[in-house]
Amino acid sequence: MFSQLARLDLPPPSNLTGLPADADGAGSRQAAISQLRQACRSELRVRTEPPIPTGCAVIDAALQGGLPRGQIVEAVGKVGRLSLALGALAQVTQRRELAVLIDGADALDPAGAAAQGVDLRRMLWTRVKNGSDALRAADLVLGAGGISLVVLYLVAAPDPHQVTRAALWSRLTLRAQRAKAAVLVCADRPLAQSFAVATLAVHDEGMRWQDAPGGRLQLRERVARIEVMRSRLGAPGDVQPWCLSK
Amino acid sequence: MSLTCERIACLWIPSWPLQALLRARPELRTQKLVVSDGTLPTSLVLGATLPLRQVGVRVGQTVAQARSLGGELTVQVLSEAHRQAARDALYDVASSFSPSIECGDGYVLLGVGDMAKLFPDETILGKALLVQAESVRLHGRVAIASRAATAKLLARARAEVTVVAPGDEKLYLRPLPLSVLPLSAAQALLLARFGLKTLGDLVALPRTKLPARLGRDGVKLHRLAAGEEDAPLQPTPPPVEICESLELDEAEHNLEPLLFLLRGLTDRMMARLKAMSLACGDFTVELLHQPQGVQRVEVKVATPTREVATVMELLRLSLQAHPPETAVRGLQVRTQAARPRPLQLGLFDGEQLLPERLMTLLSRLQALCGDGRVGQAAAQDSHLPGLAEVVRLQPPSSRERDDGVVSDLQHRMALHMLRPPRAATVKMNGARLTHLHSDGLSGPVLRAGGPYRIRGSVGNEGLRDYYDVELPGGEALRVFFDRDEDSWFLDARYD
Repeated sequence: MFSQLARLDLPPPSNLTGLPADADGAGSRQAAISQLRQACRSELRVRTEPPIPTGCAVIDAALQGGLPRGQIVEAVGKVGRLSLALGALAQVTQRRELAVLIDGADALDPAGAAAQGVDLRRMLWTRVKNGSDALRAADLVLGAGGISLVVLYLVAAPDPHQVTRAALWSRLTLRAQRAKAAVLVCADRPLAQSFAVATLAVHDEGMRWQDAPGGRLQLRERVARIEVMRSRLGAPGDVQPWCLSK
Repeated sequence: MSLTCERIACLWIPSWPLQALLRARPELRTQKLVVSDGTLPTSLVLGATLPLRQVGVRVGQTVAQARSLGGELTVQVLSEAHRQAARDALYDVASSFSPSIECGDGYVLLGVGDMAKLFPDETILGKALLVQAESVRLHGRVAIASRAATAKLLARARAEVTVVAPGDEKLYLRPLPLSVLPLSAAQALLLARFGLKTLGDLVALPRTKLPARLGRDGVKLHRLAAGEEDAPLQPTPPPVEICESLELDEAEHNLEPLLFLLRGLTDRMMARLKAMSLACGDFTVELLHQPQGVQRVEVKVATPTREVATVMELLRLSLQAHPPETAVRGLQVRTQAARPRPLQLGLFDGEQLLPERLMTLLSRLQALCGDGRVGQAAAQDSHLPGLAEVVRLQPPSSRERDDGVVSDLQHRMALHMLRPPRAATVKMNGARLTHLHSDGLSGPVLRAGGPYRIRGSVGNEGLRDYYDVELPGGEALRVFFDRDEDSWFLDARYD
C-alpha cells in the first residue's frame, strides 16, 4: 500500500486511510481515489491476459477492451444478444482460438454465423436441452481448459429458473478463472447476478427499412441501445447506440 | 564386450504358463494357485505359485497330487486367449529392440548384432530387455550368444543376464544340466542310465555313435550341447492387432465392477503399446454374454493416445451409453496400434486443448446432451436457409496458429432460429401481409419485405416464399409460406 502511494507521488499517510482528512480536501480525496483505481486497474491488466474484443467498439469500450478472460459477462435484453455472441465468437475463432457455444434454444444458423465471420471449424456447438444442462456443459468445457470463449446462450431456453442458483455460478466463476476463459451469458434477464463482472442490457430502438425494386420493402438494419447496467470494469450507466445491419 | 554383427539374444520367461495367467490375473499371485491343462484330478500341473512350490508342488504332477500336498488350492486352466496375449506381449517387447524376431511360447529370440550405437555393452542391452519385459508384467532371463540355440539354452538355465563371447560357448554350456535340452521322456531316462548329468558329459561322447543309441535326434542333441547348432532365426510376423482378454469366474452385470476389470486390460494394452513406441487408436470392447452372445462397443479416439485415464473415460462413457444387455462372463479389448501424433507446443502459447482432452470433452458432452447434439455446426446441403447439422469437430492443427490478422468484422443482425418452425396464421390483403399470429405472438404487421421464393432442391420440392415481418414492439420475424403444405410457418426471429 505504502509503496503504491509512493509510486503515485501521493503525500505520506496522515491517518489510517492514508487520505487527507480535512473537509476542504474532498476534491483531492476523489482525485486520489480515482488515481488509485486507475493504478489498480493497470496493475490488474498487467497480471491478466488481454481481453477478448467483441468486434463492437461500443461494447469493447464499455468493457475496457473486451470480454475479460476468467470472468463472466452478461448480455440481457430483448434484442442483439445472439449478434453480440456471434461477433465475439468470430473474433476468437479468427484468432485461431477455440470457442464453445452452449445453445439452450437450438437457435444457431450456421450459414449466418459463417457469414458473420465465425470459423465454424474452431467453434464447438453444444445443443443442450435445458438451463441446468447448459451450466453443467459449461462446467465440463471450462474444466477441460484450452477454450478461450464460452458463450452460454440461454435466450428462450426451457426452465431458465434452474440456472439462478448462486452455487452454480460461483463454481462456474472459479472454473472460468482457472481456465482463463471468457464467459458470455446471453439471456432475457440477468442470471449470474453479482458473479458477472459486467451486465450489459441491449434495448431495441426500432427497425429501418429501405425501398427495394418492385415497390417492395427490404429490412436494412436494427437500431439498438447498449446500456451498462452494472460493471466492475468501467463506469456503469453508460448508454451507447448500436446499429446492426442485415 | 562390444556388439558384433551376428549376435542373438534370447529372452526366456520361466514358468511360462503361470506367468501368462498371472499377467492377466495379478490378484492371484499370492494365492495357492495351480495352472493346469484341465480341471480333472488327473490333469497335469503346468505351474504353481510360490506357496505351493514351497510345499513341494512341481510341474508335471497331477492336480490330485498337488491337492494332497497343498491342501485347499485354486486350479486355473490357461486359456488360449491368455496364452496368445502373453505371447504377443513378448513379441512387442522384442520388437522395441529389433525387427528380426522369432517368438514362441515362453521365449523370444532377436537379432541384436547392429545395436552397438544404442547400447555400449551387451550386458546393458540384456538388462534393458529385462526392464522392458517387466513393463508388460513378464519376468525373464536373458542370454546373448552368437547362435540362437546356445542363447536359448543359456537363458533357460542361468539367471539374469548372460553374455557369451564368440568361441566361449562350450565353456558356458558344459556345466549346464541335461534338463535344459529338449529331451523326450525316453531320451532323458536313457541318458540318466548312462550316468550323464551335464551337457559336458554328453559332448564327451563320440557324436558318430549317438544315433545308434538316441536315434536321429542324437546328433542334433550333441550339436546343441556343444554349441554348434546353427539354425537361423525363423521370423515371426507381428500381431495384427493388440488384444487383451479376461474370463470372469462369475458372470457380472454391473458396470462399475466391469470397468474395474477393464482398467487392468487397458493397463496391459497400453504397456504393450508403449513397449512398441506406438499408441492406442480406435478400439473395440467385446462383452461376452452369459451364456452366449457378444456385445461389441466401438470407442473412437480423436488421436492415438497412451493415456490410460483418457481411454478409461471414453470407455466409461461408451459403456454408459451402451450398457451390458445381460450378465457378462468375459471381456476383450482390441485395438489397432497407431503411431502417436507428435504435437509441438509453443513456449509462449496459452493452454491448449489437446486432442485427447477434446475427445474426452466431446464424449462427456455427448453423454449429457445426447447423440448428434455436440460437434461442429454445419449448414445442410440445401438452398433453404437456416437448416443445420452437427458434424465431428476437428479443429485445425495448432501448427497453423499464428497471430492471425482479424479481418474487419461487422456486426449483423443474427437470426435466432426456431426449430422446428412454428405454425403461423397470416392474414393478407391482396399480396400484403396484414396480421400474424404464431408462437405466442399476435399483432398487425407494420411492415413486411418479400416474398423471396426459395426452392430447397431440384424440382418443386420445398418451394417456399419467405417474408421479413415487423410487428409492434420492435419484433422482427421471418415467416414463410410452404407451397407444398399450403401453410404458413414462423421460421426465425431477427435478434
